[in-house]
Amino acid sequence: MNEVTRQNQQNRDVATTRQANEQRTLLPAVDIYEEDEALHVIADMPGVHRDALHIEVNDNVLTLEGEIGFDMPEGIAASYAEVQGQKFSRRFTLSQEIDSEAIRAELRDGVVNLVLPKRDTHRRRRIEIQAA
Amino acid sequence: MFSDLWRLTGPRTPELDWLRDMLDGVFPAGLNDIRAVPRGSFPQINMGHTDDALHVYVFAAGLKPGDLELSVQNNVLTVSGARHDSSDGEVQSEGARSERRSYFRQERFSGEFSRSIALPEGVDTERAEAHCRDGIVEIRLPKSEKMKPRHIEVHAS
Repeated sequence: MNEVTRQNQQNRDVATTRQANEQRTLLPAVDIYEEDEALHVIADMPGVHRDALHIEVNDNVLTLEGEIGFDMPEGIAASYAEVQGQKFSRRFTLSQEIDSEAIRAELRDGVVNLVLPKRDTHRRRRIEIQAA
Repeated sequence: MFSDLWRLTGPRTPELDWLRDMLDGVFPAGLNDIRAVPRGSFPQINMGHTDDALHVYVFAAGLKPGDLELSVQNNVLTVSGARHDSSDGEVQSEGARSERRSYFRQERFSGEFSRSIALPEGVDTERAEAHCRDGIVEIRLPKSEKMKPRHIEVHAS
């Protein structure tokens, strides 16, 4: 009897590991807000190290990609997993008003902070009202 | 007691394995647990075990070690704390924040959180240690001696 239980247990473990081995892509949660001179994108990418983060703009499409890499001991078997995947990936289409040359990014504690500045010509301007 | 012995005879049916695999995919393990939470709860937790320890991974992006409180009571691990908008610099009230900015998307968790997860029996919570890196907190809980797998020698009679 114990043998049967043990076998089932092992099978379950194998199933979880096999699932994890497939390249699964997760969608990071993002906040996007606008300020007068720039758009801000904040993305949660826990476990992504600086070297494993790729941000690129191609044809007005902003791609945010990061491999999750953290040290796990040899021979670990998953018993419970809410995060099942190795990779975060998300794309956004930018509009012409964004100055793609001037995009800045910062990664701290697994949070990516992107600043997408607007081109000068698209910034909001206050219009002076002159006394007649 | 031996009525179950039929299971030991004959090959295991691949159909059954396939079905179980499929169901495992649809219903993730641990869903039946009383402390199971819906998808997208913050922070997300993964758990794994090796022969001598239990490892818990808390995916807490943007949290510094000081922002997170870990406690264990009666084999229930509780992770609690608060996450505020990091770009603000200082902590602002929810109202002031949304008033000032126009959000197009607001998917990231913000505010206070508390999550509990049941640990298996036989972990030594006294010797638990936690590390924090790139937004993941790893908690290592050593298994007590009696829970470690033991190799049993078979002697010829």
